[in-house]
Amino acid sequence: MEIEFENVTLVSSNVNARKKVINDLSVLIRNNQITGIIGPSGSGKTAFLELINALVFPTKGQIKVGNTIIGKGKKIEDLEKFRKNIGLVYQNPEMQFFNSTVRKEIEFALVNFNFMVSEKDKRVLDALKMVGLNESYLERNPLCLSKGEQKKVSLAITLAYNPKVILLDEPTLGLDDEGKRELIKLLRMMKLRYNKTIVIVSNDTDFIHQIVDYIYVFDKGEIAYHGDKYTIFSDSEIITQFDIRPPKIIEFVNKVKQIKGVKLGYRDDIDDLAKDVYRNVK
Amino acid sequence: MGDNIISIKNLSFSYGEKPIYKELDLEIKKGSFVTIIGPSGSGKSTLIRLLLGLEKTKDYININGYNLNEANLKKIRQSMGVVFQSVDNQFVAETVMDEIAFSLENLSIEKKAIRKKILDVSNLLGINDILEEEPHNLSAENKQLVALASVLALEPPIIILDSGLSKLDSLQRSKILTILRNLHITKNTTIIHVTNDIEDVLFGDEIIFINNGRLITQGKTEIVLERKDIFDKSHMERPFIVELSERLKFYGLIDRLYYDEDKLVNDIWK
Repeated sequence: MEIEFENVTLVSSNVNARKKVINDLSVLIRNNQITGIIGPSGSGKTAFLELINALVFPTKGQIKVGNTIIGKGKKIEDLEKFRKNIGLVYQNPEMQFFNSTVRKEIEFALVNFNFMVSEKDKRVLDALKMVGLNESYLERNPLCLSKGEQKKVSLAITLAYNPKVILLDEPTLGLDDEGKRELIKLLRMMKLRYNKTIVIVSNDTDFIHQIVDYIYVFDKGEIAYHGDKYTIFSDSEIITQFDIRPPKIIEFVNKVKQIKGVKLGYRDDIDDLAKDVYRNVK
Repeated sequence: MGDNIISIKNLSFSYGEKPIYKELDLEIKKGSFVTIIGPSGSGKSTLIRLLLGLEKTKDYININGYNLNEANLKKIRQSMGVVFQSVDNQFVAETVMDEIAFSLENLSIEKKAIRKKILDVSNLLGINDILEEEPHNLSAENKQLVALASVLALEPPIIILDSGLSKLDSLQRSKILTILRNLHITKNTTIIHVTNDIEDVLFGDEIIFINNGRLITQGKTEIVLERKDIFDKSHMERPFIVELSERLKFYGLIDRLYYDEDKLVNDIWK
């Protein structure tokens, strides 16, 4: 499902501080691609996700999500069907939970989207397994789980109803290393096997570097830079001007270039980097 | 208890049917900067909740010279300042300024001194431009910084961060951890940092490694980081610089692990 922003402006609803959260933004998010959104706090990243999900409506301009048009004063014909296609995983999952067990929490989403009772159990379990949690979690209270586990449950809720678009707001916050690795595997599978369109808001550049196809750098509600990850990360000034740190692997290569004048290649993983260092020195 | 500011003996704890801790012994020395690490769900936050008396136990916990029980709870809580991952429910005041002042007013400090303290901590953390804002309207990272400011203003002997810097990005986190490190050195404050970001361990002197409610190891940061085996077993990585130097050591380019990138670069390309 493609997502297209056409001259979208969003003015914040806070009467005391009316400012443009998104400013005349035009962008095309391609189908079957993982898009990364990075940028300083208050640059409009989360608002961007909320616009796609029609949680807020543009003040000006319009957004096309598949065949649905989201615009000021436009009513979405079948909001339920629309929302079923768009899964938004929030930054603070615990604020969404209100059921007493993980099973009920996932079932709630399914009932909401009119899934048949007969397939409910299987969907709940499949979704849970996809995020790396086993059956023993079904009857546990979501509020008593660790932050990382809560994050997984909220992802499972989204996967259970099988949306075409998956939006993730800071998905690695609170995840440990294994959780991050599992998330990377899962998102790659979602893209390759299930052709999902995935948009990730995150300043965890190590994570972004490993997973995205294309990056937009937001600043003051506009796109300040865009390009593939090497374009964005190899020029250290692009993101450090916003106080965002490049991926550690890129940061190291930039540092070696800066203090020793030695040019190493830009690599995706630490084993390749170590080999490059070895070749360069020997 | 000697020079231990926290000691736990033979602690067992479970959530209903699910056992979390079994016969845990743990000691934290006064004035140390410890990082508590372990996989998600290993019991790190539960340990903090036990220290604060938010989870009940009859087993032996001694904090700052007081045994943890109902009678001592107030005194014990006064000796610890805690920043949690989610701080929303903590805020009580209308502005950031009043929020930081709130805890100080309870200690009957005079107004002028309170104002100075607020300005000092907010300058230190770089939040002086948001003092008039409403805490609830702040970004997640600023909320954590305000919670930290409230803690720092009180100057407690023990500061606990229970994923309390988790909403900050890595650059911001390095800055704050450097500030805490200075505080730890100049004021001998005991700092306990529970984190899921392994890079954070490089700011502390000591690591406490927990998995499945057991103390896997406790020791000096550099010594624990050499134990590749325990990290592998818990499916955890070590900081980037350690992982890279491990590989370069394997290639024979260096003969030890490094904890500082500049040093490594300068030693390799002499």
